[in-house]
Amino acid sequence: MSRKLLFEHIATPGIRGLEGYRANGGYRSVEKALRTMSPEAVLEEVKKSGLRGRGGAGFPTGLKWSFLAKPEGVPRYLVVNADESEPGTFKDRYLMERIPHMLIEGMITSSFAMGAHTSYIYIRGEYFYVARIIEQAIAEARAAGWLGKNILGSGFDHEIHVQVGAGAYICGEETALLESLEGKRGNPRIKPPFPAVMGLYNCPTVVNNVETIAAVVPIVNDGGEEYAKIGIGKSAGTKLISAGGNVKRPGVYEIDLGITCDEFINSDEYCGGVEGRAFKAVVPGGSSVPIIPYELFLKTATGESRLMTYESLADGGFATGTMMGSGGFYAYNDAQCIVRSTWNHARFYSHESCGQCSPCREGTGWMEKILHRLEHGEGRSEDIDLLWDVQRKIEGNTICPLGDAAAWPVASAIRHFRDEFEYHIRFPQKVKDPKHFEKEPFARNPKFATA
Amino acid sequence: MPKVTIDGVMIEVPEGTTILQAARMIGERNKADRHVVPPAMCYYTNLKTSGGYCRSCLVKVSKGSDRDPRPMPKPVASCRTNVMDGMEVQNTTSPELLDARKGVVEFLLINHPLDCPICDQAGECHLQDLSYENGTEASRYEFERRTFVPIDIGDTIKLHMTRCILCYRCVKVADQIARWACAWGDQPRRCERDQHLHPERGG
Ligand SMILES: Cc1cc2nc3c(=O)[nH]c(=O)nc-3n(C[C@H](O)[C@H](O)[C@H](O)COP(=O)(O)O)c2cc1C
Ligand code: SF4
Ligand code: FES
Repeated sequence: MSRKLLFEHIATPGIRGLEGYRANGGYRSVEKALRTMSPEAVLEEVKKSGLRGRGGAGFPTGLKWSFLAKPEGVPRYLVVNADESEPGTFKDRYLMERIPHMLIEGMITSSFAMGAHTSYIYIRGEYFYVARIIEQAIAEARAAGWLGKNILGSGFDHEIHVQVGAGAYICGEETALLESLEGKRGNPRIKPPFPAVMGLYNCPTVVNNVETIAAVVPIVNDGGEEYAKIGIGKSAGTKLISAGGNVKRPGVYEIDLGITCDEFINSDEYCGGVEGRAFKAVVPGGSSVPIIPYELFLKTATGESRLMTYESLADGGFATGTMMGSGGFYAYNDAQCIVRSTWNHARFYSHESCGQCSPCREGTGWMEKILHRLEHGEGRSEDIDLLWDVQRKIEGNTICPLGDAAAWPVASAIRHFRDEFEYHIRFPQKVKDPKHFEKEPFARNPKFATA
Repeated sequence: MPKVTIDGVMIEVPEGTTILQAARMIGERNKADRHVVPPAMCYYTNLKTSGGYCRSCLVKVSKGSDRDPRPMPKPVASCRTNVMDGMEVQNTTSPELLDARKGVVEFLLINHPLDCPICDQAGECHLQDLSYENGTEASRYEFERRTFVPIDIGDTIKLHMTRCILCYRCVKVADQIARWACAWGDQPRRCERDQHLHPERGG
């Protein structure tokens, strides 16, 4: 049974409003930080907690905050990334919908540590109704004195603004997000300079994910050391995972980092296994991370149980491992077609590429067209190698990681499911029926299950 | 002043020099060393903040600096990366890099009409040169290419998106060099140009 740090009260009636939230211990971290701690002490707790960014990259949060430049007379900003557009990911939405004050509380406490008097929530356009929930919570918090001037008589001022995006995935990339927040087209910036030095309006800025900032609340309440006791090594604390696909119990789960992958996917506490059929493949961290066969998800290439940690999921590198990513977990049963799913992903990335740099702009479109042809029974024998070469020439050669994110799902699908691609070329008539594997599950060559 | 070595050739350059500029300085110093100069399409010396988009100037940094000798994990855009003291760079001496560059050239051309025989720029075209010098003989792209109707945005800049490789140089020329010229008593045209060339203003 995993501990519930973020979701302890998620089902408590009235928790969405300030009164209910407060009655269940809400805003204690603000009281504790502003009344009894220095900003440095708050930063120290976050460092000790071992918290890593929950937005996808897993960068240590305390370290990121400590990079924040502090020139005299220049404002600093905290920007919360609520863009959550990674296919398969819906954990931030759930948190903001159900317990919006937790995000606001985390933002005040975190901003105090950074010395930021203004912070922003950049929320994806499709979440307009969630933005309303957040706006209302901010209004409540402001009326009760949790926001505004001289909070709790501490002399610390803070204001939070909400900005709704217009639905571009790329605006989740932190520098594209900042461009968009400044009112420009969301093109990623060329780094360096990094946001910690030159971010929003050219001022030092920290961009953090919703879940990361919410996790600051229990860290400050109970101390970084307590938080670090959960998990294994560099994967400390709890993590929200949004589970979908062919699992029996889709939903958002808070897990202790370090539970086994087997427990997560098969136990009734979490995903509850698969309905009726067999699992074929798993994408554990959102569409950008490599897809791996179910067998490799349960056990690493060396035969050890795989764990839900940053390190264990990546064990084996790209050859046999994958990544924690954003926690957008989805599993495929044997009726699913990997080629179709890869095409679907490629179409997404091709559509979402901002178009600034040539390998991503041109390469994502090319991959989409090749995959479309394969999936629709018009594939050619050279297509698999061509696809492999195109993804290889995108990866690592672009301005921002979207290029890599587009390349990895294609690379991993070919690496682990090449036989399925070959099937599409050999049996064009069969795959012209979009439900091809539903009628006749693909019999995998066991060679591909482990390598 | 930092010293940088590109394909085995060393040069000392002022602080804040990019790898591309350093390579060009090596090439000017001695013509025999011109192979160290990476090609560049979207970078233009007279423009601020140009470069970084086309990726044709990618190079491999095999040693970051004397202080931090770790190699850089990915190829970097030499037009937007400053040299560090002790940095070692590979341009033509890295086969993987040359392969990556081939890829970039191919990408730049997959949606290009390749109508050089009827194009006015042929013969003095940087894109043509880039493809001759760094590309492959044939394209593997067999799908329909993007096309656009040319748009008249005035006499300063020609906008023909079918041939465009999105280097952003015209956007920056319009902004930094031709801005006042366009604005001169020609407001409607300027607005139209803004719409088409200035994506961030809602084009
Ligand atoms: C294409 C792309 C999309 C991204 N989308 C999101 C997103 O929707 N939400 C998010 O928190 N981070 C997203 N990120 C990661 C952010 O750039 C950034 O690393 C993150 O917000 C930092 O917060 P963290 O350290 O708390 O994880 C995205 C990155 C890329 C390259
Ligand atoms: S990698 Fe893609 S999304 Fe990122 S800057 Fe380049 S074109 Fe834009
Ligand atoms: S010239 Fe450097 S990226 Fe285009």
